[in-house]
Amino acid sequence: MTNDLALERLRAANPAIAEAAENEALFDSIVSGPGDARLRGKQRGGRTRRWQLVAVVASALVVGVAAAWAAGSGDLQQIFASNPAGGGTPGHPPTGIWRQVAIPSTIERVGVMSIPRYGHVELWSAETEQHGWCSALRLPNGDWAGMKGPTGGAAPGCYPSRAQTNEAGAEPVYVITGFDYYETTVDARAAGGRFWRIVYGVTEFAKPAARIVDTVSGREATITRGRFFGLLVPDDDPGAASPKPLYHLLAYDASGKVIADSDKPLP
Amino acid sequence: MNTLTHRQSLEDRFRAVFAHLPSVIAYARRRGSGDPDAIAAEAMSIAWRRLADVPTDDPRPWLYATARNLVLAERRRAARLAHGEPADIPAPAEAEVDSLDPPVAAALAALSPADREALLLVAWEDLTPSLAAASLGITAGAFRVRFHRARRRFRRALAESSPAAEYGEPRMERA
Repeated sequence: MTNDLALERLRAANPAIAEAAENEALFDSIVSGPGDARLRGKQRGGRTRRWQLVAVVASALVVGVAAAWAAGSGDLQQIFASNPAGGGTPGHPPTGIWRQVAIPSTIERVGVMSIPRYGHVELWSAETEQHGWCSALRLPNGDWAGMKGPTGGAAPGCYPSRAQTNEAGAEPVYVITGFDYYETTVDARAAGGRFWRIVYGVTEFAKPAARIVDTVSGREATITRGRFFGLLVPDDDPGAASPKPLYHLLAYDASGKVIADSDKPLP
Repeated sequence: MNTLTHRQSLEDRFRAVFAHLPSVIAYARRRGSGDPDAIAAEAMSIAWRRLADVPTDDPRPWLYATARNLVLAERRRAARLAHGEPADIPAPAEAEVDSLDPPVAAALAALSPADREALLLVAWEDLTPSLAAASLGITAGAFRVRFHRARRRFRRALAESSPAAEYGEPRMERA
């Protein structure tokens, strides 16, 4: 455009060059969501046409679920059945309220977190027959976090609901703030990245939350499938004493109103 | 066209948009986002939900405009959390980059956010004036005026911060 030396110097100072990267997981995650309604195919209407569409969509869902199992969930149903997070081992699941049975049709990927210089970490979840929930983090290499390798934190598993736990005692003692979450860490410093804490779990509020914010780090996450969330929090000095509190979570509804605070018990 | 074929055609169309993900990540990083990957992922999610709005010839202006809004929202959230005033687009000097030429950073910081963005869309995002104008939602004529002003101010600010160098008027200008 010009031989302007100042502009050339500005161009030379470009601090970030676009780098090609494999992002199929992110692509799949995005297109699995609803697309632009304006681009939906024209429908002729009528009951027959609608049933045809239902059949096609149902087939697509079956294909999608099958593809998901083939591509990612692998033996996740068996992992959830043994419930490592609840202290179980293959063939010997935990007992009591920690005996949670994941409903196979609800096992799905509910989010993908992109970690610079590390890759995409997938959050998988399931509902249980006992009204609890399950979760697992799938690392870029295909491993499940907490099962092996250098990641620290919670293993995959299933957890009882707040109500199920509190029914056992006279006083509510479990998830009294409505936030139920666990933590896993990944370390990307060797690749020039950062140390990250992945905070993931569910919300159990009377009203549905749209997003949560950690006021300590300033990080936020959207709620998926009604109650699941995965929050990425960088920690530039993981060897130092953790701040108190490590996290302070606020939940907002769709209108932007705070509906829960991890420092305050639910009413 | 049946439903599955139509779906596939939409995914093919979106894949052409998604191919610009690295550029959007780089854009967010240059604008000082604390999480450029997340900004780019969100911009792509919006592009999928609003695919009819995304230009098919060159989606970059639309993607950059979306990413810009997301970076601004990110800054506002951070400012609210800190109980401070909402921030505008940060100067690149505030970004998480360690390779920016200090005099260049100082000269950029001396510009207004609008002038700075006009300059960077051309210098760093490599957009033509007409594409940069589309990204900013202004006419090509208005963009040329803004870009010319931004370049003049940047040149002057850079000369003040680098007195030994010469950044006089260019011999040829064709914006």
